[in-house]
Amino acid sequence: SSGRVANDGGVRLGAAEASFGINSILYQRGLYPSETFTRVQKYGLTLLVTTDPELIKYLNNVVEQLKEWLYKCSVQKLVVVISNIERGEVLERWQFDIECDKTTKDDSAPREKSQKAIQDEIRSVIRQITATVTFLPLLKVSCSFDLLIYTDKDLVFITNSEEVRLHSFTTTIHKVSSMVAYKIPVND
Amino acid sequence: MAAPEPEVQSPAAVSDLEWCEKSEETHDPQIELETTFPQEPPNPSEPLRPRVCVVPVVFPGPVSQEGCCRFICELLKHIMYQRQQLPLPYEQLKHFYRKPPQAEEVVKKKPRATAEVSSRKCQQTLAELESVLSHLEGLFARTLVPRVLILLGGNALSPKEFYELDLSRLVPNSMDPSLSTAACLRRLFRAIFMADAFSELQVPPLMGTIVMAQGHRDCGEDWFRPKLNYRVPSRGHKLTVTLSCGRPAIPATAWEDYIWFQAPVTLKGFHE
Repeated sequence: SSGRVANDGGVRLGAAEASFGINSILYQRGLYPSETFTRVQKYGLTLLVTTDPELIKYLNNVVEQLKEWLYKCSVQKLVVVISNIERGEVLERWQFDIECDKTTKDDSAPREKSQKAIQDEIRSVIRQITATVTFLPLLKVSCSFDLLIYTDKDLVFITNSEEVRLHSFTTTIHKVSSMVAYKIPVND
Repeated sequence: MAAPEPEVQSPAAVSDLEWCEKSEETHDPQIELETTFPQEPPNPSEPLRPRVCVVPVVFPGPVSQEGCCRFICELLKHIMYQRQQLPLPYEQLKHFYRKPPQAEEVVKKKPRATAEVSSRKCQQTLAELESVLSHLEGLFARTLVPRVLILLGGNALSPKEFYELDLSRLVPNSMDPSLSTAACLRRLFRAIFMADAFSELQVPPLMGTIVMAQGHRDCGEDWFRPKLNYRVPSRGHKLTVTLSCGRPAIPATAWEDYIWFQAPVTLKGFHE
């Protein structure tokens, strides 16, 4: 009722943001037909989420697992890898680094952060994901995506690529930093 | 009626100047985000004065007039979305508001009257924005356009924030092949992204958006309205994007016959 978010709320927000972020990436990069997305209002933004039943089921499973791992502070990064289906070549990597404040587990008093403050930060990241479409190369080939949740070092590299950092946001116990690496088009 | 070309040296006459093959052509252009602050010491009792940012973008070759027009049109759409005057980027709005409403559309969860008002507002905004974009193409076809202003809030003389696009160093050169507009757009928007020009966390209110552009006084433009006495505002948050292609700057006297024109439409944003 105070509008402040306790630790478990931070986990729910973090997992929800991951879901909206992944939906935004899938829409903005054209991995699924735009007509399979619908608009929802969240974080003061109009967001696009999939209506594809199989994709919804897949993402829900991932998010539920992610919530559990976030609560246990065992996630280091969430990565969306976009690859050329035919050649298997990785064309883009969207990486969300997650830092978990493990000391909160031992705290008797829950940490709190304003929900508005968290959502303001999430809104900023979502708008940045949309803004990247203005300079990322067009994906002219059929692509697939993989969701990788890491507790170890990232092993996916793109040759001849650039990286751009997006904003970060923090919940009560997690800090999420975002970046995208993409293959530089030949004619740029 | 085509505007007379400004009397400037042609590239052929500038024989001792070659295309600048700067090192940044082969890697990311240097994003020199110059942030200037007021010179007087800050007074704690006064609100902070607005920040002025400059984003220089250097293209590794000549840019066509059509390319220049695309830069302005895409930036206008981008600024309106980033400053939350549009709930979605322009192309996505067109897609969602021009198809028949589907049963699964969340908008349906709103009362029907609210959804219809929202749709009407969107249609009106899209129509007005399309009109401005179309007339910008017409203006660029008539005359060189050395500068464009996109002003948000307030009025044309005193906006809340404004974005200046300096194209004066991009005089088209018909002798050399132009760069790919798509590649130039990517370079331009990457520079703006890296400058983090829209990182305010506060949601701005809905504001009117005014477009001003410089053109030759005799270009025959009949949609944009000439504003002979207009001066670029000196107050308000300002972002200046300067575009160049490594050629020497054109003398200021070349632009003496250029005046400001204002779009007769103030673009009104909307929220869903």
